[in-house]
Amino acid sequence: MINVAIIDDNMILQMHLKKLFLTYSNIRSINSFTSVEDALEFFKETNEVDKLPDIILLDINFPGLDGWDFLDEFEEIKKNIEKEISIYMISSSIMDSDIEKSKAIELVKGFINKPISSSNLDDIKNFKNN
Amino acid sequence: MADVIDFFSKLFMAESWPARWYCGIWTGFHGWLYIGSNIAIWAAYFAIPFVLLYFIVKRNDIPFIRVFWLFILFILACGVTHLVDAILFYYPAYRFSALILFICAVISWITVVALIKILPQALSLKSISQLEKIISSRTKNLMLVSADLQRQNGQLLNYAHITSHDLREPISNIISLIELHDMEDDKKEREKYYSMFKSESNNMLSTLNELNEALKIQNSDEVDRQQVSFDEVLEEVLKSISTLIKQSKTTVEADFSALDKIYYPRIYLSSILMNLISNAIKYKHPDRSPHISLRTRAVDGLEILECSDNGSGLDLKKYGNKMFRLHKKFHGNEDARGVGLFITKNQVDAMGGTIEVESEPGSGTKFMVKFNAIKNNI
Repeated sequence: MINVAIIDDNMILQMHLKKLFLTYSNIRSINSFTSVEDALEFFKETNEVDKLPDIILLDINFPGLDGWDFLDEFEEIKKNIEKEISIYMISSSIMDSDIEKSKAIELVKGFINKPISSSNLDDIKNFKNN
Repeated sequence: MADVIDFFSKLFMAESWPARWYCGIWTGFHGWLYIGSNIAIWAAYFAIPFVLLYFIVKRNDIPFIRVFWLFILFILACGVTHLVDAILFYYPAYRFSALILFICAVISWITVVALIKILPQALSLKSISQLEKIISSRTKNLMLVSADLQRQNGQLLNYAHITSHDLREPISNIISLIELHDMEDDKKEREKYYSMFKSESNNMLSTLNELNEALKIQNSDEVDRQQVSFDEVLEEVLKSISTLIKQSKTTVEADFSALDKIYYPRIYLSSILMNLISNAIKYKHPDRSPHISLRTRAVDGLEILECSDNGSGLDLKKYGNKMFRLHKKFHGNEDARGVGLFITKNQVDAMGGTIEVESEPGSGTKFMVKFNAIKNNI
């Protein structure tokens, strides 16, 4: 069973993901954040391995700190976390520059384009759709 | 003719004259001064061609290269006449001397004619300072063009970003909502998705309209610049949003004494003031009524408008690079932050200016519009 965190200010996407995740058999919990600031606060304060996500779905565009800022800070935060966390970028952007940039970051395991669907979520390992 | 044959047949003979030392009375000093000076002149006249040759070979772009060659010949010939003149003191080959003088005379006159011929062309050559002037004026033009291209390129990237993200986002949402709608059996839930679907479609349309408005600014060569008075435009703007000002208890103070008029499109100045003021009211501090202070400055030809407020301010480290982006969020939130400033930045940019911002969270924000920054910088 795994935990998933969604960091995206788009409420429709959050809704859609939660609906889709109901059909996944191995998801224990979903943590949703609508801003990078909120997400960073959570990761700074949370140590319990059980509460931490196994997978983070991270949007790029936010009005405040953005997805790249999150990745920068997460590099540091990660050092205090004893859990292997995979990050997947999830964005409407189809700019090559965004995709290339995310490929260059080791933390990022994949880039998923919106609109999301159960088929493009299959790219995420550990997800079991039944 | 007999003279000529006689002359050439005995060219190197010196039998008819005494060596110059013995012709007339020469003191040692006088003779050696004469010989020494002639030898020195000959040596110099032989050295000069080598210097010129070196110059010609190293600088293959010099004009009038043939005249340079003529000069080399001319100086060599002059040198030889001085050498022969010195030799006459010991070996009086006066025929040879005359021939050398004749050759030198011919070369000298060819040089004179050549020089006169190139004179008009040489006069029209630009001096280095003239060339520098031309180069600097062309460089300035190129820099203006380059600044404009950079600006346009930045805008294109911005539009690429807008289409790749801001226009794709609502469409993704619409697709998501359709899927959610289809997955749902509950009628009430389905209706909820349907109404969200409508509002997303409207968001999409308004983003397209904003983009369209911004694109219009780009084709702004036709926008009329005119002398516009800051006071007049401000008065119009304040009148048009008087209700907003009253309700928010906003006070506006203006000092345009340093620069009361500007040569600028009136509609842009009006839109800039409108956006800056309504932005200041929108992001007012929760504990105090908005106070907006506007003033103009003219510094070294730079025309500046400053708009300071006592609003909630912003952490520029977090938000600085996003302030002027089109950034509307597509989740039914009425907050249209960024659209006004996005348009303002496009207008200021299109007219060759820049807009800067200083802000301190909690204490306020200051915008500086430098209307003619690009031109003034170059």
